[in-house]
Amino acid sequence: MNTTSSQPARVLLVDDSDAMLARASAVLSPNCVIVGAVKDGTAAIDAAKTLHPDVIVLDISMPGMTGLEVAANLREEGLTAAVVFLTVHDDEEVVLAARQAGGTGYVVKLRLASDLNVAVQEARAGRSFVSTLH
Amino acid sequence: MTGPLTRLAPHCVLPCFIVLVELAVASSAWAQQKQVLVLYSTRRDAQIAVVGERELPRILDKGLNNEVDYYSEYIDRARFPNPEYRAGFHDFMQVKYQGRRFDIVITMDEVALEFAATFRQEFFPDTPVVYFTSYEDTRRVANSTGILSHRDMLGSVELAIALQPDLRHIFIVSGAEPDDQFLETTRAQLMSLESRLTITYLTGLPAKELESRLAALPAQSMIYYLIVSRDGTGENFHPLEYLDRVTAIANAPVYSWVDSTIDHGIVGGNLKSQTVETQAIGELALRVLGGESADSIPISSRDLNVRQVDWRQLQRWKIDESRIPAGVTVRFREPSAWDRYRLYILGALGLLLVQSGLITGLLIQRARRQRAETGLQASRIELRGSYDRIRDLGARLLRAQETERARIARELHDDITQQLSLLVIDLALLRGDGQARTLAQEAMTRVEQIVKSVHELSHRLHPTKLRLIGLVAALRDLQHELTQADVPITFTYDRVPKTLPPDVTLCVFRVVQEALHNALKYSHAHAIKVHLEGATEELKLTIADDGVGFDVNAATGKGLGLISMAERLEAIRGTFEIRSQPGTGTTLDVTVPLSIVKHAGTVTV
Repeated sequence: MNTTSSQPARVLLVDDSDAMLARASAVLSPNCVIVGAVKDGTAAIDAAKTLHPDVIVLDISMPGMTGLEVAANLREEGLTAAVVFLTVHDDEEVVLAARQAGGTGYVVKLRLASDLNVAVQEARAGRSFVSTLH
Repeated sequence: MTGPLTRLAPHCVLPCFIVLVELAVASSAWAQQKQVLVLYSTRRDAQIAVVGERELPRILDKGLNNEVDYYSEYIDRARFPNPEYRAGFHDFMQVKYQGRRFDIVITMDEVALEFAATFRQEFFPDTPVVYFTSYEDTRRVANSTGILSHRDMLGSVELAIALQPDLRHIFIVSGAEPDDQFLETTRAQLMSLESRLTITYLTGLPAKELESRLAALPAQSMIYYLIVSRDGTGENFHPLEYLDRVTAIANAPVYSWVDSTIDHGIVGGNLKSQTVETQAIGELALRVLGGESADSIPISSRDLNVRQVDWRQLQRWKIDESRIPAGVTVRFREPSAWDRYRLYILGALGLLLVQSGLITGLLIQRARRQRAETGLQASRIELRGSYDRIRDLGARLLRAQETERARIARELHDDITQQLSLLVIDLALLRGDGQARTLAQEAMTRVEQIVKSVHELSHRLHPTKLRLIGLVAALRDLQHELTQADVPITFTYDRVPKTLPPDVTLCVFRVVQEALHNALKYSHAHAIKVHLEGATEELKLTIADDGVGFDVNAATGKGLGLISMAERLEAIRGTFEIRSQPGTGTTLDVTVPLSIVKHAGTVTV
């Protein structure tokens, strides 16, 4: 990953909300290349396979597969993209579950504006990031 | 009387004196005694003589205070019809009773009366005579009285006709005795019947011939036995013994006229009572002995006949008892089983009745009980049905509630929180300076507070996280959420499957939630332990506190918490048991099967 650190990170956005996708895209686009934006887990897996993003920004609460399940599936498929979870859950247990599912970053949507860029960069560098809320 | 005295005199003076005294006593008694002579017209063992000898001394003794000197003689003319016998009897009487003065002479029937009348002057000129006769034309002698009871020969035949309505032949049996008067009387009385019945007189036949006749009489016959003392060959018989022979060989019912014949095989008849006859004579004799003038007592006419039948003979001749006319005495009736065992039969019947009543009562009771049981069974089934419906309704309500809560929680969480998050993001992205920046910052903070509140509300409504983080994490979360400084909650788990059916997850979560809330609220526990353990086929949950405990039996069905717990578990075929006693804390054991079972419904988590 370090070899590509000079390049802007290739990011895949996954969220069932168009508005949220737009905000995330707006926040990330100055520093990253948004390779795709999809609205459900299945589409996310397909996109990950074809687009080979460096980082996947993945909403946890979605209809169909949850973000956690998508992450687990990606690992099973052997895809190595770093996963930054994006969620409204401000909850330690969910953070723990997200880690176990293979997430590198954990950004609470309320902190999207301030934290997402940091989390993506950290994730690309192989480091963990968790939004601090309290 | 002087003989013995003269013989004794030379031997001893003293004994003589004693004997003299005795004689004096005896002679004074003799002077007071009534001298009674009874003359019978029959042999000594004829029934009238037997009855007379039994009854007359007794009646006279009783009436005269035992002062009776009683003599009786028998003129057996039936066996000795020759005049020499009469002359010899006269001589015997003369010798025997020479110098005897009788106070009364009683004559039974015609022969005796005739003898007494003939030799009265010679034997007892001043003695009153009391006589019994069967004939109205009997001549009353001087200083006499008597009883007339004429023989009712027709009465017996009328009784026979009543008993044998188809009677056509009468065979009249009498012997070779020289008693024409009796036969004539009979003939005269039966004359009226001759137009309707054939009457045959078998008189004075040889016994053999008579018996062969009697054994082969035509149908619809009767035998009328008058008396047989001797047969045509001159053979003598005791009339009753001969009657026994007749009734034994006869092929038709035998009737008679005097009650001595009853019990000798006759069917019956209008029978003269010899006992009553003797009693009447005895009483009449007492009146005369008491001083009444015989001539002043009129001849009394008495009906001494009693209609009677021998029940055994009715059976022998197969005569229907219902034919017996009213007023006829039935004798020798063998008591029927009913007569003999009436008490026992009635008792047995009574017992049977009581028993039948009891059995009937028991049967009725059993039928009632069966009906009641059937009804009860139906009620039970109905109740079971109601219970099932209520349980089903309860489960559906629970599911509906959970589903609705989940929906609202999701709306709150996924939609409103999402919207608010967007608002916060937008506020964060807002470019501005100074006051606007500060306002945006404040708005963000406020919205974050709202998000937090909505998040909590959502969580309270439904643990949305369950689906994301699983049962163990959710329980751990619950543990942290509910733990209080003075009531630590520990949560341990072992071999819990990674994936569980959503309804099992939710149910177990809810049960733990409910149990922890209860424990915290009521138990005053110092510590609560939650343990979850997975096995191949089931999930075991134990929640134990060290609180005050409670009476499980008394509490069962009371608390809504317990009921909803039970209903939740029932919906996924789970079971639970509460172990508690006042003062010992409470342990709740829950078992949930994990076998693949299609549950009644699932809750979308």
